[in-house]
Parts: sequence; C-alpha cells; structure tokens
Amino acid sequence: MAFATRLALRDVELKECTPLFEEKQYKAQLAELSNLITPLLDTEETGLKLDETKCTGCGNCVVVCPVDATVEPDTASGKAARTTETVFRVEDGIVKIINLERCRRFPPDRMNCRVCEQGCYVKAIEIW
Amino acid sequence: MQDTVCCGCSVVCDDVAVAVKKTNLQSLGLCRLGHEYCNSVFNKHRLTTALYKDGSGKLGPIPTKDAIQQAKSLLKDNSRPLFIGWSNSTQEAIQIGLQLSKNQKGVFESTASFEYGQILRTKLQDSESEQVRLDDVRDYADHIVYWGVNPAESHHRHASRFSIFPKGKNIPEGRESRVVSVLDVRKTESMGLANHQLILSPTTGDVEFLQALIGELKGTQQPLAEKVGGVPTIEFLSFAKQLREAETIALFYGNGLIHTTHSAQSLPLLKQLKSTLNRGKRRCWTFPMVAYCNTIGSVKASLKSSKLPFSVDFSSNPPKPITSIFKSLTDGQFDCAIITNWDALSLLPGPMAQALSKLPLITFSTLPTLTTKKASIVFPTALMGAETSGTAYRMDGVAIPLKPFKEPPQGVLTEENVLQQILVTL
Repeated sequence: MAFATRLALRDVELKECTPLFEEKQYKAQLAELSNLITPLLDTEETGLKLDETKCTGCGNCVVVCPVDATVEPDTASGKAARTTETVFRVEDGIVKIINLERCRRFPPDRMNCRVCEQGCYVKAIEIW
Repeated sequence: MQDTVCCGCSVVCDDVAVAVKKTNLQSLGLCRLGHEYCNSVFNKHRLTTALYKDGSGKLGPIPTKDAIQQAKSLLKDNSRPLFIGWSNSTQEAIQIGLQLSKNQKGVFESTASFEYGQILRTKLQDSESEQVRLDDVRDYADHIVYWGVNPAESHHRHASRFSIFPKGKNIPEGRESRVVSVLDVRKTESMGLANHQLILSPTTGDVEFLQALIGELKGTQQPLAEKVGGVPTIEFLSFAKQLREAETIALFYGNGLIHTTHSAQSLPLLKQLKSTLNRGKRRCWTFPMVAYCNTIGSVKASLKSSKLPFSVDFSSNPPKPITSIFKSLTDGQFDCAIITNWDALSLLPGPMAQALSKLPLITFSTLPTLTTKKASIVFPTALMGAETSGTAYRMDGVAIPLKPFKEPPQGVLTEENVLQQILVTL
C-alpha cells in the first residue's frame, strides 16, 4: 500500500517494483497498473491536467484559487488576474498555469486541494 | 498592456487588459468570447470602405462622404423609415439615432423588443427605486438562482465576477457562503456548480413549479404530487426551504423562462415569486440576462427620449408605441431602414427578414454579414469598445465608460460620427 501511495504521488516509478517486471505471474497486474497510471503521466507534478481546448476563459479557477487570493487579493472578489504572481491567469481567452510550483498540490506539501477542478464549468481542469 | 472594456456581452468586463500586436491581440482576463470579439479588429474580412449599390444592383466602394449624401437622399425620399438595432451601439450613437428617428418621423426599434420585451421596461422602471447592481449581488447574495439561462455558454465571466464565486462584504467565503440553484429543461454546464440542480419539464414545467413554489412559500400549498413541474417533490421542497432561509436572493433569468409559449403565465408568476420572497428582512433581486452589451442602454435612452422602451413611432406627437414590429414589417409599413451593427436578416424570423430585405437598407457593420450583402448603403464602423470611446450600460444598468485600445482602420469612422453627419446634412 505504501508503494501504491508513493506511486500515485509520483515519488516512485512503476519500474522500481522489480518483481512486476521479472516474474511472469504478475503480468496481468503489470498491465492493469500501467493502465491506471497512464493518465497520471500526462499531468503536472500536482496531478492537475488542463485541457485548453475545453477552456472558455471564465476565470472561475482564478477566483477560487486560494493562492491567487493571497498573491493578488482582488482575484478573490472576482477581478481578472493581472500580475505574474498567480497560479492561474486567463491569457488570450484561455486559462494558463503560470506558476505551477505555487499550487498547494505541488510537492512537497501536496495538499488535497481541488477547488479549481470543482469550479470548472466545462471540466477543462481535472485532478488525477 | 493597456486597460480596456469588453463589449462582447452584457457583462461588459472593465477589469481586463490588452496589448495590440502587428496582426493580433494579446489579452489578460478576457474570456474566449471577449477575446474573439476584441480580436475581430484584425479580422481579414473587415469592412474598410463605404459601399453603395448602384443601378446594376452590385455593391461597390464609394467615399464615405458620398455614402453619407446617398443616405441623406434615401432618407429624404422616403417618409416612413425604420431605425433598428442599437444594442451594439454606444449610448452616444443611440442618442443621435433617436434624434434622427424623431426628425425623420420614423420608428425606433431596438433588439430589446425581441430579447426581453416588456420585462426590461418594468425592470428599468423598478430599478429606479431599487438600484441594485451586480456588485451588490457579489457582496450580499447568499442564494444565487439561474433560471432558463446557462452562463457557462452565454456570459462566461458572470459567475466568477459577480454571482457564484467571488467573496463579498457579507460573503466571506465566496462559493462556500452561497447556495446555488440552477433550473433548466436540460442538464447544463452551469448546473454542475449548483447545490440544487432542478430539471423542469419542457412543456409547462416552469408554470407548475412557480405556482407550487409560491404556494409553498406562502404556506398555502395543496398536497403535492410525486413531481412538481418535472422535479421530484423532495428536491422541490429542499429548494423552497433554502429560499426561505436565505437573506438575499439574486435570481437571473433568461430566454429559457421568457421565450416560451406560456410566458404570459410564467412572467406574472415570476413577479409574484419575487414579491413573495421580498418579505421581512429577506430580499429578492431579479435580473434578466440580456445578451448584447448595450441592450439596457438602448432602453434607457429610448425611455428618456420618448417614455417608451422601444418600438417608438415618432410620426405622432407625443410618440406612440407601434403595436407589433412583426406586423408593421410584414404589412409593408416601412419604405426604408437603417440597421445598426446587427445582422438583422440572419437573426430575425423568416417573414420579418424577408420583408426587411425588400426595403432599401442603410447598414452599419464592422464585418460583412447577410444584412450588409442585401444593403443599398453600407458604412464600415469602428468596433464598439475596442475602437470607440463612449458609454455602455451593463446588464444591471450601470454605466461603464469605454476605453478604446486602438484607432479604427484608415477611413473607418465610428457609428456615432456617421450618424451625426447624416443628422447634420438632413
């Protein structure tokens, strides 16, 4: 279980579990685990996946992000992010993650914050 | 980056910035709709010269001053002009349009007539005493209701700027301090954010639901069936309970509620619901979710000039309302029309568009449209907000001064300027 948790947090890689690769009896488990972690490989260090093609630039994520509210307080009351300090900023009609390392999910803190995902109308943000 | 105001929809965002590059625009804070709207200043199909349909029936370029003379002649030769559009025009242009309509004894009609009709008249008359702004919604509304409208598709930043998410004076936790309810006939994107997701029956669900809700809130409700207007009774009761417990309710309604075959019943019921909720310390504010950026401005200007919200017939003094623009157009009561920044022929119902297309048309537009194709005279105009100063009225009736970020292309004037020149020459 400890290994699985570390795998989900991306502290370890699947190949570090050598029996999975060396012993034939684990072939099915290897295939299933590979399937499970494939989406994770596309995400950032925070597990956050942003699909820009779905984004409408509504700015819900900008307004709900607690980090944005701290570094640019006006965003919490609905204003657009205008500085380079926030996690999210809507540029050219689409949201961009401009400071991923400030996200509360970023290692080593890895807080289980999902407000941006919950606030997204169109599921452009997903957290894995 | 320079500050600007977006005129892409009726939220009229004034907290955004743009940087003009050689062939495109960079923006901060504009939603996808707003960015595309502002970026259309670089549209390669943009109209940059005035066009005039000569004897051969083909539109060809002419100098703007000649087009103004042609427009003058057309208006002089015809006694019953229609001035239509106005929701994508600045307040200053609308005022000149009203003056022109008055001088020519024509009919002034805005898109408000097709969008929200008499509701806007009542709303604006109410709001004179009420003066509720979207900023008040952000600061005080602890229950947000969207009824028959999906801001996720139509007004992208509405929820983040004013209704669901922002923190306000009495709303310390933003989304967590509010209850959100969405009522519609289908599962919408906005519903995904709601505590109460109420899917009404598409036939007369809203009428049944409103009647039952008013009864429930007044305590006079008869025993309920299994469903109320298509909504399971348990969900209906839970919604009613939370409305009763709210301090300030902001109800935003859209075409899904008002453009139905039974709106004659549902709209008075909505008004009744509002007065039922406005009891004791509890407040209820209602807002129509108008689409265009200055629909409210066109109604305000018209009310100020004629005491009528739209459909104003200036052929009599005092001006009187025309009974139906549909009937007036299809009966052939007009002999020419000025259409301002509105693709009327694409958007009006078939019989009206057909009747309009038979008239000599003077149109104002930034881009070629079906209406400009059929027009006799076309004036290319500066893009509202992006290339024009002036004022637009947000959906709550707040005046927003525009901040243009670019000069219009050479030879392209503002609608206000062209209308003024026509007015002067006449």
